[in-house]
Amino acid sequence: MIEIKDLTFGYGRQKLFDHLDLTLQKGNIYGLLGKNGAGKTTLLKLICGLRSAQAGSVRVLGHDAAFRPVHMLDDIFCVPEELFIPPVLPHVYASLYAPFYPRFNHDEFTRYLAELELEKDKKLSALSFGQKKKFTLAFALASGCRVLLLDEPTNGLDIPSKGQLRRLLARASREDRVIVISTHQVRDMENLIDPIIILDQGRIIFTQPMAEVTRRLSVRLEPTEPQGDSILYSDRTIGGWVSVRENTGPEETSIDLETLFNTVVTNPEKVGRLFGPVAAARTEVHNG
Amino acid sequence: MAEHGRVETVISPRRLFLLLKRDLVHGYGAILIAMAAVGGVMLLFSFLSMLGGAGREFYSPFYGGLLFLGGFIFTSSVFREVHQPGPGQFYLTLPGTLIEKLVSKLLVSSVGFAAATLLFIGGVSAVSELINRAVFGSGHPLFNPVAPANLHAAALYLVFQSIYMLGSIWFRKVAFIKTVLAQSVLVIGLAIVAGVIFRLVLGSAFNGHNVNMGMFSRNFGPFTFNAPGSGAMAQGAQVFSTIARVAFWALLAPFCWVAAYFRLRETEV
Repeated sequence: MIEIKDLTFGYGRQKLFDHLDLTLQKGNIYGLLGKNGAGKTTLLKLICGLRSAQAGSVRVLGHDAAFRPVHMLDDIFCVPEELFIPPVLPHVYASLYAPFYPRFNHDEFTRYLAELELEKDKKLSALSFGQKKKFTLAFALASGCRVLLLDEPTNGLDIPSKGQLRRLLARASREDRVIVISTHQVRDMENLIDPIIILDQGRIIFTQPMAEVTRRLSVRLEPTEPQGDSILYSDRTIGGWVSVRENTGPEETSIDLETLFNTVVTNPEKVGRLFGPVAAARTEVHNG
Repeated sequence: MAEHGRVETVISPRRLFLLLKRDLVHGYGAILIAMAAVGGVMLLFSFLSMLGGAGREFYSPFYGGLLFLGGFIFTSSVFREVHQPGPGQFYLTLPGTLIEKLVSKLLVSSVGFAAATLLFIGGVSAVSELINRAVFGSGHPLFNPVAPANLHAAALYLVFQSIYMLGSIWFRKVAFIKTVLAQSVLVIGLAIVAGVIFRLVLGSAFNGHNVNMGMFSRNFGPFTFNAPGSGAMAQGAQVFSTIARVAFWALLAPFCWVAAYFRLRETEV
């Protein structure tokens, strides 16, 4: 659904992506993780045509994203960090913008608004940032678009709303849809995003489905600081030390996203060797 | 061609209507405030001017001011959202072709604005004159929206407006002032180039720094050019006037629209 080939992009003279390849398949909710400035938002902008590649190509649903063709735009919805919310009532917003999306589902939209506890008779500009975000997410999910790009969707949401959003996203996941969630708030997206893509300094240093992660990595809680070359990552926590090693046995252990992220960014070469040539940035994920 | 076989349409009337509706709904508050302010000023000034006597043409200056100054300022703001991160991202990813987005903004700010101004001034003048005649027993001549001079002004507006539309997409901030400055620099530059060409090509018509003027007159577009009535100078003036007329009426606006299209296509946020 999304095919990035040999992508080179930068701001001014500073190169951000250099010969980046990535293929995203339908039926997945991808988690795009990375430190500040790693290029997550820029990658989303390149996918929806808000930035154009200096070399290489970004194709979305068969279209060249840089040209922003209308049949790509009516099948892709991007929820950015900086929202555009005009001072109109929710039903006016829906009457203005829903007709742009041929597969928009008004019943779903009404249901999402109710589930996210959004007021129907309040102007959107009068809502809090979190409520605006929930409104935009509800609209995005109801749009029927096959490509959903969500940039930090849980920023500004209260604790119950994060749970509600997770449930809605899980329900909105379809066989013909790809959802890409860029986030720092990995705990908010735990058990939802899969596969995981980790960007670091403009390179994709990791991209794997969670099943593969739990198969290859072993996580233990140890009473003392773990030592040795086999340690991929360790961190002090309540009750001891969390250690991450290569899983050599048949037993699988679960790993939280924060630990996975820290393991990958602190030891990309070792993790790269363990999972295959992902650090070389030629990456393709097929899942589902 | 799309993956799912749908052919890209350049202009869909349905999407064009949706874009126009969106622009009008988001902009109607500002439009109403501006109309109320201008209408109020016109009513007040019309009433006050009656104290000095009736019978003079009163509404045309308001029409000219609103059409050109108001229209250029309005046009300079039509693409403002494109330059703002949140709204720009939303607008650029809104399903619509570039031509639809350009045409919707063009229709609102050119033909739409000119027609609305003619009707608005006509309406306000009717109300104003009802009041004047009720109070003073006489009034100013009514504003006639279809008078040739008013329609000619509207036609001039449609051409000049395209420059401000290009400025709106070209400049990220204070587009109106920057367009005025850019236009001034361009006009001065063109005047210098034209002066040099005239001096070189038609040197015989010059006497020192003075040129023999007044025997020949050509009107091309908004400008009038005077030159001696015979010989190379007259021929040159004829050619120049034809080129200038074609350039102004037929080429200037399309050039600005095409430039605006490419600028919009290259806009990134």
